[in-house]
Amino acid sequence: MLRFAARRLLLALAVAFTVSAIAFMLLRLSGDLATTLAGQEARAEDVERIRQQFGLDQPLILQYGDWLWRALRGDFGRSLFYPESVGALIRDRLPNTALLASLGLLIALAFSIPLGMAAAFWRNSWIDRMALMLAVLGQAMPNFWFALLLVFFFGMTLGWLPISGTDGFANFIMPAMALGWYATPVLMRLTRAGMVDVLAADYVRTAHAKGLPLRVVLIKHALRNAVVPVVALAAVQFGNMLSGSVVIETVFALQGIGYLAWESISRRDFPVVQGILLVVALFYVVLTLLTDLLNAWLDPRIRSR
Amino acid sequence: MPGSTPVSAPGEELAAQAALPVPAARRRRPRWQRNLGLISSALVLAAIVIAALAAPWLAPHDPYVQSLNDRLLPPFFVDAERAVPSHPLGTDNLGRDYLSRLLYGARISLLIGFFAMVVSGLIGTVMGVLAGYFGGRTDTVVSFLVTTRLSLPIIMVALAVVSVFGGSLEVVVLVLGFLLWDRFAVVMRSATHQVRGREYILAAQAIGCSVPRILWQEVLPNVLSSLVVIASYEMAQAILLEAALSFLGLGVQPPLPSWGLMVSEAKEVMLFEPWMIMLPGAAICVLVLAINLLGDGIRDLTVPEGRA
Amino acid sequence: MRFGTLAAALAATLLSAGAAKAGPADNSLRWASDSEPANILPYYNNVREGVVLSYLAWDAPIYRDPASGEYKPHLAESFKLLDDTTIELKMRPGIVAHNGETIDANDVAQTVNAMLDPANKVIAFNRISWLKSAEVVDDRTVRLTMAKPFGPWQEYLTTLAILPGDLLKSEGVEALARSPVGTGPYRVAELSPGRQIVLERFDKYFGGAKGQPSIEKLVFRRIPERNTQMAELMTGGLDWIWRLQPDQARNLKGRRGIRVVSGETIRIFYLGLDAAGRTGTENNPLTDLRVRRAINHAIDRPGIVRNLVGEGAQVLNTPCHPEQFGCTQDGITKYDYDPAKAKALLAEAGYADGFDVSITAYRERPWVEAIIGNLRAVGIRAKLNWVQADTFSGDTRAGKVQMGFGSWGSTSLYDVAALTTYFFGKTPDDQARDDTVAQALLAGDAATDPAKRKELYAPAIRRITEQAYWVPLWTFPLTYATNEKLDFTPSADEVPRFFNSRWKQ
Repeated sequence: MLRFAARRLLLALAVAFTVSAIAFMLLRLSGDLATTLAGQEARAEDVERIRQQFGLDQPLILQYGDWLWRALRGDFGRSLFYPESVGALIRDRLPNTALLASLGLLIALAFSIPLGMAAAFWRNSWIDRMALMLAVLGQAMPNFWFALLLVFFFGMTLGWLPISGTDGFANFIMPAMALGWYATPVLMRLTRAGMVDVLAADYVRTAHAKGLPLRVVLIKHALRNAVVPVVALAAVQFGNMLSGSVVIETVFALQGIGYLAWESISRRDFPVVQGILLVVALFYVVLTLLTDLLNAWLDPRIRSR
Repeated sequence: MPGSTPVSAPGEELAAQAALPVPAARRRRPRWQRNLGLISSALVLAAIVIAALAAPWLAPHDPYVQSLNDRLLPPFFVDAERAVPSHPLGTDNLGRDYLSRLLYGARISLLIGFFAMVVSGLIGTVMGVLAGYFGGRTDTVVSFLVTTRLSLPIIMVALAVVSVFGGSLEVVVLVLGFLLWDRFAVVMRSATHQVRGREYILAAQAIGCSVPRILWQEVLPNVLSSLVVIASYEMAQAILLEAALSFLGLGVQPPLPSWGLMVSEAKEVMLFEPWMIMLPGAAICVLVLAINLLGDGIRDLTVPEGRA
Repeated sequence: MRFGTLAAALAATLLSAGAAKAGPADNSLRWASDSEPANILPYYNNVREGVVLSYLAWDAPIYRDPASGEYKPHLAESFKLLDDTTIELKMRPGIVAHNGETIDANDVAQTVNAMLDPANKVIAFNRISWLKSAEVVDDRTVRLTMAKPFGPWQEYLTTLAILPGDLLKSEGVEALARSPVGTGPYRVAELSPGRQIVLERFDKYFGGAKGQPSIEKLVFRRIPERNTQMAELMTGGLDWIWRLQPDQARNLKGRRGIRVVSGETIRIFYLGLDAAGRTGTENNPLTDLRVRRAINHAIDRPGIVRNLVGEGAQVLNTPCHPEQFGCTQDGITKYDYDPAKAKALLAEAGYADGFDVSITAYRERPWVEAIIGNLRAVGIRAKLNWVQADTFSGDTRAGKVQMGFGSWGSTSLYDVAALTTYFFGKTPDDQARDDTVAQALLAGDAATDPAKRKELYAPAIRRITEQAYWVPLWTFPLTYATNEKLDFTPSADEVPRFFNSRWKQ
């Protein structure tokens, strides 16, 4: 098990390094940082001045090496646009996205587990089909459309929820719904599948035969066992939401990592992008490790490889 | 990207396994009900494909012709008074006929979805099968590639590629193809892995068949059902991702009538002319739903009883 | 029962936690825009919102009155040219910054010299690059030396935001960026990057040309999505938004409680043509005068302006905004919308079957599409090359753009030097490379006598229109939507002057 973890860690480092190098190249390819910094209405000589000022006229390898050397010592530099250090920026925005993703996941689970249970229990009935349709419908809509629809209904027509900003908890409800809705079909299917298997299992039938009320059987045995793969997948979906919240944060004007990433990428604010990538890569690696461990614990065949 | 796709390797293994549930009760289900989803989605998909192919004959106008005096006309079911008979579904903000754009847009969405799926499918399947079959170092390398791909934000890649090559249809297909292969790789790896220890594989190895032959003749046919399921899912994903990229300005370029682009353009007047976003949005929904249900249906048909 | 009411109360508190306070009720103004300056200091950002904030929290020695266009003394009591390159300012006494520091000639000199110092890595260099140095004569007098004789010096002097010198020296620009201090009618009360910027009325403001503000508090938020902005405005969460599309404006107009107003701006849109053949394409049609004239005739500018650009826009006929100093409208060559004439000219030039060309653009897709449609109608097949803004600039400078659909705001400077010279003065952005034009423009920039400058600019402008180097398209209107109780007057330089706004009773 230790060697397994160590191998994964090595993988993590390799991934982080590769990703940062690719990101660097892509950002440089996608436009001219000096012009973006100088602004649209700057003259050519101003752009050149800025290019020299920020060391952008040096060969790419040197620029990357410079960043890498400092990053290895823990200094991720400062944003090229904000008067903040990359660490401070990320620390400031990450909690919002984390809250958003957590809430989104909670909402997804709140929908998918009961739906999945109902679908499994009354499987192949119209309830089963309805649940599936409902879940898949959310997945089939472009997410910004869904988000804007929520704004329209809950924000404008009904006026129940605040539309934008990061003031209070209420600001996160609609965005979390928009974000979480997307994970519902997968989680629902998984719950249903797990429940179905467990319901058919011997020990459940035994428990039921012994006279325990169905509700107890469901919750004690079936749910508890069906939930394990769901939790594993939920952890992964959480990771997706964390890194995929750009559109939602844009629509609801939430100041999170997603929007910071989009901003920084568009402006080629290289240090910030690299910082975010590292956080995301780290997150994925940790998540992968955890699910691997969980997987191995569940299925000894994998562990022996 | 936007709350969508990728699930990392092991998590997906779980999902892949769990997504193949077939309770014993299935046997009791009447045949027509089991196939209802499959048939209806196949019909819908066929209808969309036919509409796309027959667009030049079905469309009342050229989807590119502008008419600045006829901008933003409503469809007949929204405002019968202002609607114009020659534009049954109204016009967009440059006066182009919406019905025609929807019909031609079917082509673009289908093209993007299909070819992105093919490209990512090729890349991902090759990687996944090799990783599942050989294991060991190959598996580690593929794992590394998958995690790297997952850690790279889609927007960044899309932005860079579009900046360098411009935003044409081909570029978008390639970008999506190169970004969506990870799930293919993961599922194919898992499926290959399951099949690896089967008797027929061992037998083929024993009689000295070459690796390519084994892969092609023994492995692939047996993982085909998983492949079909994931292919249908990824096609739907590609279509949705194109819409999201268009929202951010990184998708196909106007004046192409891609549904995703139409949704993105209609966003500006969404609060006041909701039909403009509803129509292409619903079209995308229907297409994605049909593809997903089709994939589900095929899986239900092809998977044997009980857990694999 | 009790649990029910408790839950209800809790719900109400939770839900109202984010609710905004009423604007007119507490004399505050909540406004939003789709982007914000990453660094609020005037010299460290180049977004429009940064310019707006710099007018609210900082002052310059002189101030351009938006209504009359005259340059009024502001921080400086008087200003005059001593010679071709020296300006002398006499500072007003009794000016105090937001932190209590006295502002006098020393601060002017300190600001100028600090911003010129490469160590401070200024970004919006054009605010300062026309100057070379500043010297203090006495506590109330300071002399600014220009880098070279510069005609539009007054216009540029209005953008020279003065920072408190002592603070600048003791804290440095970075600390100042995080806790900004200025002299303006509003002081920065809260700067939460990405969340909100709160400005509060400065009680000790000297007034000057800007006068005393009426509104007590300004709360700014960045909301990237226009629909969200409109939704907030309609539900009372915001009091002021701008940059509405014409269709959105039209729809908001009828709404109760909302006032929609359009204003002109100095921003123009143009279609740059590769007249000098820098792209190196063989048989480049754009080098032919007849083709360029045909393109001018082919585009239905009045139609597009009427249908797409919005209320307040005007067809443009010169490579400058008519309001800009030196932008003569006499003797220029105008091209009316005449597709038949366009086709005839093309045939004459040997392109009876049209030709293929690429058109590069980075904003306003629908307008570009309309133009492409117009060109297609006369046989010119324009393929859209959609890029990011900086790629557009870079490619134009590298000579890679055949037709470029661009926009220029002249940084709100009312002077031809801020636009025409930039595009026709043999700069990297010059696609025409015409010697006579360039010479005339540069001479006009260097002259300091206004009459002389006009004399020098006029023939250049006439020649540019006669040679059809550009297709000047239209001026850009800005549409605002506000709470109808707000008394707000847009000004043509894209800078909303909230210090002149008030809530109607």
